[in-house]
Amino acid sequence: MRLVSLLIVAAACGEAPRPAPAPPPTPPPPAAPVVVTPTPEPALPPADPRLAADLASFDEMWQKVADTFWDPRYDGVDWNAVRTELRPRVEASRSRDEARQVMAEALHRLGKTHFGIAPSEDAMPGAPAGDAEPGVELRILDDEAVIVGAEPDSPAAKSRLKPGMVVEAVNDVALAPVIAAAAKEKSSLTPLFQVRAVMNLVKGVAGSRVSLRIKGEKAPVELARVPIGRMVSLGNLGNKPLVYEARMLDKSTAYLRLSIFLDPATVMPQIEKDLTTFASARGLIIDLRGNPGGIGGMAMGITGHLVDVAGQKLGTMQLRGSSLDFVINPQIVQFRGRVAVLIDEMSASTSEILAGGLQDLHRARIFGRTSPGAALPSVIDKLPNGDRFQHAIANYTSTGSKVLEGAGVTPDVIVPLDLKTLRGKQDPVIAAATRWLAGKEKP
Amino acid sequence: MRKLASILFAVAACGGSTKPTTTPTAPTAPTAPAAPAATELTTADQVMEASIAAEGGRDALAKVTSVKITGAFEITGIKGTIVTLTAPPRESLTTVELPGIGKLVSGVHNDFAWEKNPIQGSRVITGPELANSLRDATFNGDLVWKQLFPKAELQGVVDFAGTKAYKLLLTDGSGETETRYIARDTRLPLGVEMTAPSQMGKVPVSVTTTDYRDVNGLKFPFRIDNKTAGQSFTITVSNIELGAPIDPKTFEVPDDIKALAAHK
Repeated sequence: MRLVSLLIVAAACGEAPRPAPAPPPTPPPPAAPVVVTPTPEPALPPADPRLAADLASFDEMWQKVADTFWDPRYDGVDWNAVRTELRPRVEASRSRDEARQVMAEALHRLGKTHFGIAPSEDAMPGAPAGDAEPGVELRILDDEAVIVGAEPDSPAAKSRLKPGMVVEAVNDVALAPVIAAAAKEKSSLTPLFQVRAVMNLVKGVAGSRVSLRIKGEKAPVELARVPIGRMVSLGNLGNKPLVYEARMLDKSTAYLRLSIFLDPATVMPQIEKDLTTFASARGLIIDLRGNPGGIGGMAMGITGHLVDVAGQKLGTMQLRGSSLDFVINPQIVQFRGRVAVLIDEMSASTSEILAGGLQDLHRARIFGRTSPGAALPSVIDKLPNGDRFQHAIANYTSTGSKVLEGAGVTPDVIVPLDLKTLRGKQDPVIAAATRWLAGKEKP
Repeated sequence: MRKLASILFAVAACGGSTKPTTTPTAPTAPTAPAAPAATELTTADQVMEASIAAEGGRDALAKVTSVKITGAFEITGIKGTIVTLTAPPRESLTTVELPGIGKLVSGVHNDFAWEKNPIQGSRVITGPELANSLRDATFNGDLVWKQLFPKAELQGVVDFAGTKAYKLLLTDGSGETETRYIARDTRLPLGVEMTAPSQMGKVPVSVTTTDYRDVNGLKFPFRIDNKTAGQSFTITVSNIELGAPIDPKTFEVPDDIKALAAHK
């Protein structure tokens, strides 16, 4: 096994714990990289073990950013000043949660995605509990939560809920203020965080029920929360539900959907097997809508079945002092037909790397809505206090030299959210892609 | 025999050479005698030979016919296992199993290097990375270090991982370098820094080797820490088996890799 294989194991994990604020004003770049002052050793550790662990965690978090942030000038942020200002607040913290908020604020100052602090999985026993949901797919349109679909065979799919319906409240909690609060800081990530805020209300413990109040309807829809997909885990990333779906939509159109880029040991052989089955299909749809990312290297692995020319790459990650290409390894099993990739405002990180790379290589046509631009390769470490610390270690540019962070992938064919089309017979994005794959529209 | 550190550099750091080396048929005699541990070493030759002596000595190393290393592998909270098999002249097979990832296997057989990776797919290793793989797979590579690194320069005594260490700059035939750190007191290797070639580009790597233990009279590090590109991983060795019979077929290139090579 080679070094870079390992590097990609954890790179580009698709969690974006905090919304990216507007980039800070960029001062004129100094002539030399900022000199980072090493963390001073405290004279005596605090007597309170909680505080000692939180201070050690702050110091470790700060130092890791100092060591690994790809731009030695921290993109204009005075990282020394951040420590000077915020470490005393950790010293004065009265609880772990308070200390955690200060650390999150420090990371927030960087103004990038893929920096965040989260409690350890150990602190959340039975982590999968709370991830159950009725299977309803929501997006935000005009500050309202709109149903865009449902997981096949889920409680939502079996209910009277239909795409195009507007959800006004979840368990009697009005969504308008929730959606507004999540949009406090405007960025390309705002729709993503709005949906997550709503889904936090929708999700719960398996076996419990959730009530959705639909606009224009008197009686709410009561749904059971069930596990969607199967739970997979990856080190410090913890447990995540994964849905993989592969089928023929019609005689000539294959469809493949992946909800998160994890569990390569199972998913990648399955993709190879399904692509073998799909060999005679005229076109392939890869549906990455709602996919938050995951293992960055899987983008290369999947592309290896779509690109048969050696030496191609999806893009490049720029680390401190070096850069690494996302090189494609052509595989024997190849899908040679047209490829359409579906994305939306919830398709982050590895989804953007895959979609953007295939777009630049002219190997796929992208359908849907612009992705959020949260594409920084990152790793998740464990801090001395047990918290999980996600930090980006690289910037990422596509083969076409586009910086995806903050900009996202713009589809070749934009299919806007629209209540009328949502209420139509077919998923409007799949319909657009299918038309193109069938040759009814120009490539 | 290739020393554990070298083997794990191959696993973890890709080494640093870009030029293929001729497979040695027998260890070459040292050109400079190892200096006694109590004396200050003043040349690169002395440091390298003292290091070999500290690890058990040329004669003892040359008697080893195969190495099997078993251990734990941890990266960003993912805890798995690693097994590495090596044999002359440069046969190598490394298997890392990580929960949530799967089995990553890489091998070197004759002049062919390959990798099976559940994430990025299978591939045949080529270019500078192949040269590096072949060099790293050289069995008993430490004993022929002058063939692998025609130029060696002692750059003084420095602090490395909290220990006084001789700093050696080794340069291979193509001009690629790696910096090795040898403990001033024990003469054992403490680590290496290099810019390693990979399929994705050159990567700065820092490896430290600690927790040396005796295995059949030879010294091996039982802990290897690797820092590269903002990411760290640790190998904790649990067992080292020297001279165990290994079926030569173990190192043969898998059929699917052969098919991939033919496909290209």
